[in-house]
Amino acid sequence: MGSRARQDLKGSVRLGNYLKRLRTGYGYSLRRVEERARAEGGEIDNSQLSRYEKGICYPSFDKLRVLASVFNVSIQAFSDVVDLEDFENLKPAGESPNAIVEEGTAALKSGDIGRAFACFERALELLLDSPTEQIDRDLVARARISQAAALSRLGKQSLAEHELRSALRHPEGLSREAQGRALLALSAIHADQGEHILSELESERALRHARSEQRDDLAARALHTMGRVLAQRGRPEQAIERYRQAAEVYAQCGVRHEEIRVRIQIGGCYVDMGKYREGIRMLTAALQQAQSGGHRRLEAHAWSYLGLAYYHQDDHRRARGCFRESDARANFNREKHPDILFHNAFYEWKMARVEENPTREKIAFGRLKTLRSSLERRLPEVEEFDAFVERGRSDA
Amino acid sequence: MLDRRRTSLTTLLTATCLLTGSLAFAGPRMSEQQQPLRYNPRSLDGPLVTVTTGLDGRTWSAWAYRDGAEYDIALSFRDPGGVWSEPRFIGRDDGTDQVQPALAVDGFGTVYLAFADLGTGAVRYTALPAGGSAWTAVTAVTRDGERGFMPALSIVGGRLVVAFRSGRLVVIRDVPLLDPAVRPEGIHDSPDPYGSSGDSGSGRTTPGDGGS
Repeated sequence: MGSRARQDLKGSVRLGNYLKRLRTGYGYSLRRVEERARAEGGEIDNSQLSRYEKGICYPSFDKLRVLASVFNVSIQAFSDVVDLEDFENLKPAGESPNAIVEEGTAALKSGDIGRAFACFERALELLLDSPTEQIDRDLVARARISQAAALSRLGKQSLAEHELRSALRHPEGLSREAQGRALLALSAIHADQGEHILSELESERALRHARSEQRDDLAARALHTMGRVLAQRGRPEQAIERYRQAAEVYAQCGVRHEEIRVRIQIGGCYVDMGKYREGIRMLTAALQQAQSGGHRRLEAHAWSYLGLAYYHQDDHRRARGCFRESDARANFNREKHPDILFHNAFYEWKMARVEENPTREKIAFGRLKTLRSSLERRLPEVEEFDAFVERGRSDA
Repeated sequence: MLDRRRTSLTTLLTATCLLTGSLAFAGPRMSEQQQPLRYNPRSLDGPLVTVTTGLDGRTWSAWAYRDGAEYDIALSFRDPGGVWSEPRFIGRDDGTDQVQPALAVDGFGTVYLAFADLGTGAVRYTALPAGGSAWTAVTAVTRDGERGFMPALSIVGGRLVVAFRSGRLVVIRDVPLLDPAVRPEGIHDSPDPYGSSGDSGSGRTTPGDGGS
């Protein structure tokens, strides 16, 4: 498309391509979408949809809602697609998909996530433009899994899930190790969304792949994920068992930061069970390990759990101190961990309510509202906050 | 985010509503060998509904069981080894008929059972908490004087949604899920499945950052 023609577009080419991909993926004609939209209670005529697909204009929110129902995706997926336009100009100019995937992998490792995303997308474009019989399925699958890693780090969970599902759709071209990693990544996304049963099944399958390939590090990650699901389902004792197995294998493989992460989560399980002394002991030890390894998220995580342990013991002064230490590490320079910040603000808010301190309560509530919009994870605290907000609306 | 959750809630509620008729009377989904045979075929007086809990691998079955002149709800579970438990009965010898069971299981593994009480016209439900052995007291979903039948259950957005027919209408109510014995709190991260990021795991940083 020429630059003049591009300037005439008032919509989003990326969103248009995404809509077209969804439509053709379902095998729908434009007219069929029109019919399906009507069945969903909306009106989208086929010429309108064609304009959206060409990027000539943006669909309104109502139209997006109907399209989301027709294609069974979240509305969030549409806004995520538009957000990714920021990375369009980072796409490399090369023509070798292999070299571009390598470049993307290097960018992912160095933390340049936007660049990594652009590389993987370019590689996929080149690969999928080849004649069908010449498509390198293995490289496509690897590029998709790496693309999912980049999308996941950018917080675009539904798009990451889509890439992983696409990669797993042709498992014959994928090594069992790659399948295991894709399954684990899917499992993590589903655990974040509170889809526990799905997450459990995927992590169990990943464990089988890891064991058949004798990949201990992958097996440890699968055990870790299974522990996480059990913990989220209110089974801390069983979670601890899985976490301990994972920690042991991580230690054997030298995957230090994951070992520390698991130890923090074991401490969290003890806090869940009301065994505060044991929990604090484990968390303090894990915190020291995280500090010596320079893992800021893990430090923030450990401080946050320590705050929770003191909160449950009604020691608000210590709890507050821990949450502040955690905040300082979860919001450092450009790095920000909204899930941890939300968790801390939530308990600050609860303490302020118990203490009947309206100023503190108001400040914490304001922070929660701000942070909520950037969270896709379904933490118990997020659900409690949402329920509180909903009650407030219905009472109003 | 809230909009998205509301949209999915609406979609699921609609689906629940549409499924009301079929779920409550869903026929047996298991082969004969997989059913609680001791009570089959003569004593199995209502269609069997089943649900499987992913966590302990139990398959729960419920059916309307005729005991003399009255119907009760029978409940049995099959453990992962394939052995069926002795059924327990709800409403036994209470002089009224309980029929049309519906089952659902939440993310923590708590099993919910709803049924219609033909004597009073009420739709009632009870729950077995995850890891527990005692069912909770039976609670009515219908209001005083309201008659309901053919209940269906679904778990939507942390609530138990009960849909049932009332006259020519379909009524949808939702109630809170039962608290699990241990209520999890805090953040549990998955590992980094790609093994390339160092300190990220399932916790995400803002765009442009890669964790430390």
